[in-house]
Amino acid sequence: MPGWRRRPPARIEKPAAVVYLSFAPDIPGPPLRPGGRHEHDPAGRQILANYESDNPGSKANLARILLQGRLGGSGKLVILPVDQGFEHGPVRSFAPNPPAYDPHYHFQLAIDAGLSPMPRRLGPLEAGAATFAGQIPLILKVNSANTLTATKDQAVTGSVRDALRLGCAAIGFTIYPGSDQAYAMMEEIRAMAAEAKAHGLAVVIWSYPRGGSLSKEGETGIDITAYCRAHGLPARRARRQGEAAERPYEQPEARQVYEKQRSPSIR
Amino acid sequence: MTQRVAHVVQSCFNGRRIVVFSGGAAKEDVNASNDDARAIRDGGGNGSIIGRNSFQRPRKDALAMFDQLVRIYLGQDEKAGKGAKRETVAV
Repeated sequence: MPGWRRRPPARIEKPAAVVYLSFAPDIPGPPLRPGGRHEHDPAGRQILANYESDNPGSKANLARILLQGRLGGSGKLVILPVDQGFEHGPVRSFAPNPPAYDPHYHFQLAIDAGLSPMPRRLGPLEAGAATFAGQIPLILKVNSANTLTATKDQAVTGSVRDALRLGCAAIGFTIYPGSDQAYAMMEEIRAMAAEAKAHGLAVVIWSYPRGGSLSKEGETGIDITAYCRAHGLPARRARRQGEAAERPYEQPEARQVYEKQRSPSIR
Repeated sequence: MTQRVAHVVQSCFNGRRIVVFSGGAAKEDVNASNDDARAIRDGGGNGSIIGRNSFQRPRKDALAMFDQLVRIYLGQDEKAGKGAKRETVAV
């Protein structure tokens, strides 16, 4: 039996039996994580307070996300997402480390490494949903792309009902703000985010600058990166993912503002 | 890099939303991922999301890599000296 097989339940991170939610972070209160190593837990309390319009269900699920693993309560997250089997194909994704062909491998890796919640597509989540139930909060990635098509778009491959059925803490969704399909994607997630939040789930947006008139280099331009991250905001998103910006300025209009503000620090 | 992260965080409601940074393309060098994580930590970002760079390594190496990343975010790595912000709070 491979060494990564399921461990006894003793390895489960101590569950947060009581989660205090604070809507007034400046008022002293109990820590988000009872007995946690962060005495007053300013990070977790502040983060939850920032989501001012979210209902208690969504906040509780966000708290589940923030309390998981070795970074639980620190306000930081290290996430292992596995949708590459769909996006890049099984061989490109898993051949370098064949045990990774097994969907259970990734669950166990994330649990043993003490990571934050795990985002996956519907199929791989279903493949391990019972074995790993309750051991790590899950994020159902509800849209996906492959590399066989040329269009910068993704298909909706999961639903809010699926996420609830599988006990997920959140749904995840990718948008490509530079794509010709960008507006359609935003409309899709507006509807799905509204439904998810109505059911008390959190929402995670993957926002990648892709498609349209963006150059390959421009995909990591600081103006484009910052702009695309900001796209996650209007539709009431819980978290967003940004690629680390590696190159300055794709848009001339943005370059002018950046240079006028003399912000060489972010170049 | 730290300041770029800070600018992205600033652009996202000035720190009122959680921003996690993806690792990008597959990297052979673990140190590159670690340097990224330090920059994200020090710039006020909320973390890293790393797929291929972890599960394409043997399990033992992947666990060591994640252990190092977690230590960086907890401010426990060797480079977390002066100036490294621990427990950065989004404000």
